Amino acid sequence: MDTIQERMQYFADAIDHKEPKKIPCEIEVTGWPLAYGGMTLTEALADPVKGAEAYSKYLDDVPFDLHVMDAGYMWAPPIYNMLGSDLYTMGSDGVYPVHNQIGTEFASAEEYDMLLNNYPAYMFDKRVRRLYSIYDLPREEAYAKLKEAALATRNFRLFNAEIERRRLEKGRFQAVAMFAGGPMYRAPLSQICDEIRGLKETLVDLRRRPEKVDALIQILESMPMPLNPHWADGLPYKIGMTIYHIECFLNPKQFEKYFWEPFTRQYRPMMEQGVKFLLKGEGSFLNTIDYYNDLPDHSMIFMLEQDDPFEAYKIIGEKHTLIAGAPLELLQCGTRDECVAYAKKCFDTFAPGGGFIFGNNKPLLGARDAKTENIIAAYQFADQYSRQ
Amino acid sequence: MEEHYPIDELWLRLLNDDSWEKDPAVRMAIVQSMRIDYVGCPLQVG
Repeated sequence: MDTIQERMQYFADAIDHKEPKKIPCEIEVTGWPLAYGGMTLTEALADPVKGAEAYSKYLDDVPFDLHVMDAGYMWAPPIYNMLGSDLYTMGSDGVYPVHNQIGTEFASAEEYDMLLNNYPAYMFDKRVRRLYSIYDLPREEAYAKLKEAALATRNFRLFNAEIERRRLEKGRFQAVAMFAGGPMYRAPLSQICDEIRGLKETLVDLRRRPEKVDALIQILESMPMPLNPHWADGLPYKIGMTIYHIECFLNPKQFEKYFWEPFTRQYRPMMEQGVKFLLKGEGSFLNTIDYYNDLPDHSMIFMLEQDDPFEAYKIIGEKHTLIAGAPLELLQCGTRDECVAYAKKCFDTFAPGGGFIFGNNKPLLGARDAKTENIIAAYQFADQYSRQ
Repeated sequence: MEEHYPIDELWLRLLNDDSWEKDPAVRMAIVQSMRIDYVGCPLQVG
């Protein structure tokens, strides 16, 4: 079995566009492994050690080197439920947390003034009371619910910690250091979209009240996430991360103003010092890829979602790194032979010279996201072919 | 009649309540991670 250090070196070489001893293979997962192990999230939270044991079964059956982000869960719908929120609800498969963004009550246009005049009062009080109905309860009832949520959180943390322990024991690593306080850029406009106004209303605001949006962005930019000076200690690479949420819906002028200019102003100096950034986009964003040709060589790693990697490759060529090879749509609807043929085509096209990581385009969230036999066939093929 | 009390009142009580977790360091870690997830900012203490 490859060691973690060997796998990290494969990864470091690949993103430096040196031909690695083995092409690194990554897989993004959240809820699917738990279904594969035969448990629901509610059962796992009741017995986190047994839950993590079930969750980790995929480590024995799917050969891969790394997770770009980590396995495990970021959100536990049962805890949201205890707090009186439906922001995340349990999927019908019992493992997949459904983000109820459409049903979320965001700030109204009239509340911009409160946001601009007293951002903490809106974000950490008014918004919180709106999202979590426990604060409508009398003190003692609300406290009992909060305590119940704390006990569930203790198990939830233990569940995730045990998943991480087992992953390390099986020699797999997690590449992006955003949870270790590394560089992470989410454009303020995406923060407004995700947490304050929702997608539709944020896009409306850009036309009807751009001055309010710009004023709110100034407030958000005044609260940068602190950078841990030791975020890359001991690693053979330095990777930050950025994400697209609203960016896929912007016109070029808006994209330049709300993402490209602030992102490059802040992080180009780091890239010139050798830090690379992973871009994880949601949706289709091929129209923005050409901008990145202006950045230092090999400074970006693209995790596409809906876009065709062969089209992306025509734009970036050897300039940056591409993650591709196991599209969820094919894993879900294709045959084993089709999955293997597609993986081979990706290796043959993208791998020569480095700058390629085999991986999936969307995380395996739920039980029905992909056919198990397709996942295993694609990753078994990739594991063998990546060594040739 | 509906009470309207400061949110932080409940969170400070949770932080100081050893009936659900004896170890104060573990309690602090759990409460602060919950605060980030469910309020959006850490609890100001001390």
